[in-house]
Amino acid sequence: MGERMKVDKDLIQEISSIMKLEFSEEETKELTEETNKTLSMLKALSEVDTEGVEGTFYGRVNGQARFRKDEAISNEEEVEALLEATPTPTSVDHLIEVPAILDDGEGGA
Amino acid sequence: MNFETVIGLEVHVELKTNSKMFSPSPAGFGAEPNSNTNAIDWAYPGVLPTPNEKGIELAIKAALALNCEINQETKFDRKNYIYPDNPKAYQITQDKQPIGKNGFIEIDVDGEKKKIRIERVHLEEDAGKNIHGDDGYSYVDLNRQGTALLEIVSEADMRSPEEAYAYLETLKQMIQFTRVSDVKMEEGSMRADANISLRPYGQEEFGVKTELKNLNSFNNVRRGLIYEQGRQERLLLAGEEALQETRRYDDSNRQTTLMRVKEGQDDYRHFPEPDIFPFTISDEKISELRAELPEMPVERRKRYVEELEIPAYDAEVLTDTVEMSDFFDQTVEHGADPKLASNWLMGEVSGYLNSEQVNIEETTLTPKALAEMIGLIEDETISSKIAKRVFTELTKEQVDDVQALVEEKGWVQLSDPEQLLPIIREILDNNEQSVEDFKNGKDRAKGFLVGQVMKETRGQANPGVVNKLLNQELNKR
Amino acid sequence: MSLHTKTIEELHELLVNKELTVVELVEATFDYMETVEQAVGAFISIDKENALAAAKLVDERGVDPENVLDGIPVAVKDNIVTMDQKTTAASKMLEDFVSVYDATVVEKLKEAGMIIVGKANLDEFAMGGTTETSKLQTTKNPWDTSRVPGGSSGGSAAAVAAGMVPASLGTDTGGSIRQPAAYTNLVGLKPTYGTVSRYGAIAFASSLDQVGPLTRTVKDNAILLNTLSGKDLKDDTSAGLEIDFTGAIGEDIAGLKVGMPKEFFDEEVVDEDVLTVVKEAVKQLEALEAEIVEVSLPHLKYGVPAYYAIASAEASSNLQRFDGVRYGYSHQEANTLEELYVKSRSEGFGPEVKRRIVLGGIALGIDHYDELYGQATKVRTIIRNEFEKALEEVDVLVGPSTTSIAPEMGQKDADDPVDAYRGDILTVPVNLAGIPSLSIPAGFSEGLPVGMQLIGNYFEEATLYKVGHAYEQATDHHKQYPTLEGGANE
Repeated sequence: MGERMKVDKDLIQEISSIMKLEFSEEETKELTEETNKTLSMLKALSEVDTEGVEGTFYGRVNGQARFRKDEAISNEEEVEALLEATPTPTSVDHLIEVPAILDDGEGGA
Repeated sequence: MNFETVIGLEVHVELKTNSKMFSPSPAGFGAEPNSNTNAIDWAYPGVLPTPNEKGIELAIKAALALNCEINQETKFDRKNYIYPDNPKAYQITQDKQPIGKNGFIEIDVDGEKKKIRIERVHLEEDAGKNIHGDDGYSYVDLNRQGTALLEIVSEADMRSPEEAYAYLETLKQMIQFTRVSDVKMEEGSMRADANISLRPYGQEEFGVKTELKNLNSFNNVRRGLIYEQGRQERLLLAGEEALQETRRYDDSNRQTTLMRVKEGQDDYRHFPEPDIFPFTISDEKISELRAELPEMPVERRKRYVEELEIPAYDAEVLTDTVEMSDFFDQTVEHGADPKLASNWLMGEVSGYLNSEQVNIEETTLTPKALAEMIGLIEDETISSKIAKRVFTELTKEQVDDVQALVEEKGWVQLSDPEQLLPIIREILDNNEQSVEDFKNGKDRAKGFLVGQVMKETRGQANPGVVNKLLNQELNKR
Repeated sequence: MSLHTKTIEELHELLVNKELTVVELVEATFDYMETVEQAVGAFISIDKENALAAAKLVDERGVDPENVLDGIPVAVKDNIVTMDQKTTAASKMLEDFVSVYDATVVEKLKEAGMIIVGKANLDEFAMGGTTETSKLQTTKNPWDTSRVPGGSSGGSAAAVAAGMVPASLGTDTGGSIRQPAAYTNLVGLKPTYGTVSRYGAIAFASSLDQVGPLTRTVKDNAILLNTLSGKDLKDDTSAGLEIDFTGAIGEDIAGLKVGMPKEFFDEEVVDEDVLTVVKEAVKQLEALEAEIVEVSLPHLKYGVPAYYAIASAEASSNLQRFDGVRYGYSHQEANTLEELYVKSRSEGFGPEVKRRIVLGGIALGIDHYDELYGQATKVRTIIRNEFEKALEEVDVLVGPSTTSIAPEMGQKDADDPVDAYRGDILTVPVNLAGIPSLSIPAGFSEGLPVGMQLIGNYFEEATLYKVGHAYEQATDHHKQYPTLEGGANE
């Protein structure tokens, strides 16, 4: 840890691009500074000895997933409302229109 | 060749559930765009996933069929990436604890058997579909979004495109036999991506691999791999380095083209899905699902050949699908002669299924009815010719009592000499010229006389018995 | 008749005794709103039409004397989705967004006959502790309009504190119900994770978020929780427990063990005047014959960094769906998909939200996963274990809800998020542990409210209500109301 817990403008730009956010030069500078301040606070985590400790990833311990019965429910009204409310057109065959997808995506299923 | 080819396959199969994996909207093929969706599939603010019990059970079954160990403590994870067909911008999948691991299947290439290891089998959700318009726009259909999907990842154990082809065929058949998926490449319910690399013989370390996409049939997998094998070999022989690339197979020229070069590892920022608690798969659940697994095709073929004395080729055809194989087994269980049952299924029945483009389970034909009909042929209650008419009846509606049907239709074969003799005598009396011709050595005359008997009995006379009686009577004249 | 200081129970009495109709109550609510909302700014939107229609229906069928909530007005935090009016999350991203479904808690309020009068302001996507990151509205503390109401459920707190409604719903990811409740002299509960369905609450950090009630009294709070709680098949993490949360109210607390974690009473962390008030309140509990013991939660101070790593990580994933395609703000002149994504998100989200998305992206990335997100989840385990251990020894833990009284508007420097984050030290550990915590009015400092937190074991809300109610009966802090320009106390 230590030096690695610091970010520079390039990393901020890289993460921003993955997160589909853009910042001006000035904003990037500020965000880099703020992020480094936050990271220096987060650095305290390294003081804790977590050897052999399992992570807690859920809101409750020992929770067990509950499963849904495999029953299909159609909801035409909801589909209509969803299509109606899009900010992008859905006039072609009830499809959601987006600007042309040029790449192959981030991996897909 | 100077190099050894190393191939690993990632196969996705859509599981046959009524509803989606994490939402109750209908899972299905071919509906109007976006009609099988709801607010959850659209990733509306505030929605939460609910895991489908059936999806989990089917995944366990498939993993068991593929000889996997089951991770009894398992969970879902998020794989983050933003794309129009992925509305939540994360896919719910399994990262660290796949449902199944360390499995294998056995393939057979030109009589040589080989074990291909399966690294992992995990459950996830399918993405929607992006349709690319030529008007500068793409169009998103979320019907497929959220469909239960199983990913089966092999170890890089295949050493030729032929082995890869055999692996896919075997895998498809095994999955088909478990009935967890339709495994139809043409409908997209089975998809394959291939990783291929070359290395000098004797080298242990893997070469730099290429990932092949858009392989939409088994043949294309083979062709794409053959092309890629050649391409990489030329590169290596020219002293160039292969790059870690994703390449697209183009069926029109049977070549692969570069989609992108991968630098390092893709970072999907996986983390445990906090909206779904982890879960434990009990021993009881596993036993219960294991008990539901059918006998796999390899074992069935062996049994057909060894116990039922069916020719190897026929056994192969009968085990092409689980529906056909189950139907055959049940027909035999209902007392039909295996060889006759096999002949009927491979002949008349298959012809009918092909012409109607249906699956045997979608017809009104039942194993019991088929077995009964075969029994009636065997005991000469009906003739083979009449049997075809009976079969037609069996495909019109379900028949529970074939004997009754045959009687009702008046199709019972006339084999009783007491009934046949008067008819034959009358015909001989009325056709003296033919009798004369026969006596003078014209064999054709007898054919005519048989025809007359058949005509008189509306085809119901047993031809064998008619022949015998006719000979007898002609000799008397 | 002055209605704006009445509790749910008191209003119910009036309705049942026909001294008031539901329509009259709802009309009075909107009339009063007109006089004070200008100064407070609690609501992003109000819905008089639907509220009156719903009120009329209740009057027509008659108020159910067995159902205390029947016909009672309520405000809902604007990150909980509704079909009848828009849900904005106080963000430009959802400025005009109307949901196609109601959140489960909204369905439950409606089924209980409650009248939703409006949607309350919050920090954008619930990220903040002052309600100042709201992109749509400024909310002021009714006790002193130069001060913040707290956050992120600042509008929900201000609406009740100002007397516009007797109850509201908030969400609490790291203190967003308890801290504003403390700043505005209200009772606010962060339930055990899973007590209340999250379906329809716009996710901030999925493993930490809970919906909970803000009310004037402890009993009102418990009554409302009874309605909100329960298994929801749409939320896999909701618990299926059938508990009457009012069950222990009225029991005495003699002999009950109350733990004072010394880290909650650290003068380096908490302002002295706040500590003085809370220590006095603890004495009151002692006077009620509770047994006070000192306990320790040594890793409490790591709660804030662990919380920021985990909450930002989950938020970065949860907020990726806002992409300008299916709903919400969409950049209109995008020529490419990338541009649509980037412009919609960059223009739609405010700076605090973007800051946390970027931080979360770093925390989950391959390079920093182990030391940030991974390490934080382990520290979370340690903190949880410490709470569990302490709660084996005592029945409840007690401490201040906040490190200070409500700060002046604009004081929390938006450019120094770290400073703002530090104030969460007393609230976030409870979210990390998943246990319940109730903030109740504990007294005043400089005329401004101070809140006391009662923290209990998993699903032990009834115990917290028991202690809170006993304390409330022995004091009259909850009967103090702010004096507002235009308000009836003027």
